[in-house]
Amino acid sequence: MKLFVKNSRAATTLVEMLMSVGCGSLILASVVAGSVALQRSVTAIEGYSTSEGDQLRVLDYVAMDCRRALSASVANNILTLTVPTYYDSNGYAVAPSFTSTWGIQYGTGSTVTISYYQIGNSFVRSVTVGPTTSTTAIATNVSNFTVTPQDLTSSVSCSITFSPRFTYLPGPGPVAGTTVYCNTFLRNAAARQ
Amino acid sequence: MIALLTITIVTMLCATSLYVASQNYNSGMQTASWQGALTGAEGAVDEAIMALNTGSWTGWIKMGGTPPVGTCPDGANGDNGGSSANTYPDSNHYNYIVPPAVSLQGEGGNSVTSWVTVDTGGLPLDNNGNQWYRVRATGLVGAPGPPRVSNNKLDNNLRKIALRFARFTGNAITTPQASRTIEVVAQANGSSIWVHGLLMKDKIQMSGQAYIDSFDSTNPLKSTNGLYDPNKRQSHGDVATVNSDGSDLGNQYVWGNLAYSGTPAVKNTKNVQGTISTPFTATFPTVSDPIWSSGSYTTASLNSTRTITVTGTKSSPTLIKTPGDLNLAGQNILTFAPQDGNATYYATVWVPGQFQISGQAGIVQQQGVNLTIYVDNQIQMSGQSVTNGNNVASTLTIIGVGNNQNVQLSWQGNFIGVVEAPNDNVQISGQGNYSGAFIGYTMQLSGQAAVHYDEALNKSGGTSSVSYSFASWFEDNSDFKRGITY
Repeated sequence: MKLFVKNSRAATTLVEMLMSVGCGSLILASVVAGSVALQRSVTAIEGYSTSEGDQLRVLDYVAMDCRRALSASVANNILTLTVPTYYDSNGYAVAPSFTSTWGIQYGTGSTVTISYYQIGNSFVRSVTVGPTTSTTAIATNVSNFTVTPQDLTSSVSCSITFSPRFTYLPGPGPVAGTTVYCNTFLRNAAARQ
Repeated sequence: MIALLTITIVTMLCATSLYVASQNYNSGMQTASWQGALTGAEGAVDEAIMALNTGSWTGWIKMGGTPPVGTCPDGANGDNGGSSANTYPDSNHYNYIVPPAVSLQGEGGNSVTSWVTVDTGGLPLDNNGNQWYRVRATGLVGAPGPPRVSNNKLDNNLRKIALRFARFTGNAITTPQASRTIEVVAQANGSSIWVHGLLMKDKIQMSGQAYIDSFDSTNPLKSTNGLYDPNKRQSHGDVATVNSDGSDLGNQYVWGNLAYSGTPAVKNTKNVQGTISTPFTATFPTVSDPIWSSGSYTTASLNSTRTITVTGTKSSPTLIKTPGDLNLAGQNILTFAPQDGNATYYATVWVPGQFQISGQAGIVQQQGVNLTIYVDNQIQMSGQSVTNGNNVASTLTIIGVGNNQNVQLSWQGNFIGVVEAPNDNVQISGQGNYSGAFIGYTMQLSGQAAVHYDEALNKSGGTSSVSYSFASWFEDNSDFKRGITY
């Protein structure tokens, strides 16, 4: 049996090896650099999107509760709103009725207290229904919360500053944070009834 | 192999990046749709307020029972029964409408749809006899993108997005949608014509020791047993005219404001205790003879002592027309008495001639009777004149229908009522106290007469129209099945 003998002696020379290694290294380096940049970009986008989501969520919560609040008060930088007890124990809406001074109330006229304040880096919404209080952090990375005690019979103004989630520079960057402002008209204020 | 592995890793990175970006885009679209839904709901509320204010219910549907919560009464096929609404809903019905969709641009859905219901909400009539209404409106905006929850649970707690099934009906939906529901209570605001103590189309002249101030018959801090108390005098006895030419207050005391238009300015205003302002405009009521169908009223002479038993209601008062003048002289007393003490009864008298009371004669309006008197010619009241047993000005209304007639009031006692004679010349003299308000063409207030404007008239009484405004506003953002209410 005659074995097949490979007569070719093709191979890479040292120079070719070095060249290919160099090129390959360049390609790998660029791929790695691209991957790092891509990951960094995704992180930045994720941070931006999360921040924007937090900001919108906070504004929507505060605006919704201010609009339906019967009254508002500010103490120690805590915004406290009272809203009507609109739901019964089964979660159904109750019918409106008149108060003794011809205002509108729901049910027995009891109220629910909703408070907004900052704890550490979190922005918190606290809801007190009867003896039960539930507290939820609706935003994080909050650096400052200020509520202005303006005319609390007609409108509430507040501002919330969010720290940047993604920082590229080793030190403080050009943007210290993002501040959102909220000025909401108290449509349901009892003082105007 | 290494290249393959590298390519795989990079591909995974790209895919992850796209996935995250896609989620964030989806969340942004849902947020924009949720915010747009509120605009739709509020627009629908505006539609309801407009219908309540204008009384025009074109396009509205009347349904029986109470309105459903969170679902359109129109049904899935666009017609769930009912009939065309042509009036305000009563306690057993509600009206609803589905306004045309409004197109949107930008982020979120490209159109907003809505529906709104109006019912009484179980509310009784208020203290002015007006009905308030409950308005419920829902705005709906499609949320573009795949039916996928937000990547942040807190967003899902706040914004209720229906992805595959409608939140309240459970019916399958083809595209995700954001909905927001708000409930508004529309308050009935009676527009009283009695906002001033004296309201004239032309000159106002005061002399002698006449003055005007105010009180509030419904407030014990501003009255005593509903009557004027000089120790509780208020400063809302406002005087107003739209043509000040010839007006002279004679430096008499006006415990209130003066408002006027025209030239020259009102003279001798030194003792006006409130503000003096110009220009001034006002809408005067239009007065005319009542229109009564044959058989609906009684023709009777009221020129001698007699007692009229009043049995009419506010919507169907006792109607009496005199054949000519109503002239009470001597010691004749005309009494209007309620049929019983269980309710308030209403009577309207139409005098196509002159209305005169003199000597010791008078009209006694017993407690429980609301009396309105239309007079075509001049009015002259002196002597005992009219005794209002209710002690409330809004229960006695004298309407001068004539043009350029004289309305002369002069007596010693107390007049409690309102005089509505926008085309007549009103002259008040004597030593009497006049609690109520006056609308006329010109006014001469002299002698020791005192006008005490009853501030309670601003809330009721007189010919009034009703408009609606927001008394309460609440957004229903609950999802009780998930334990979310407020």
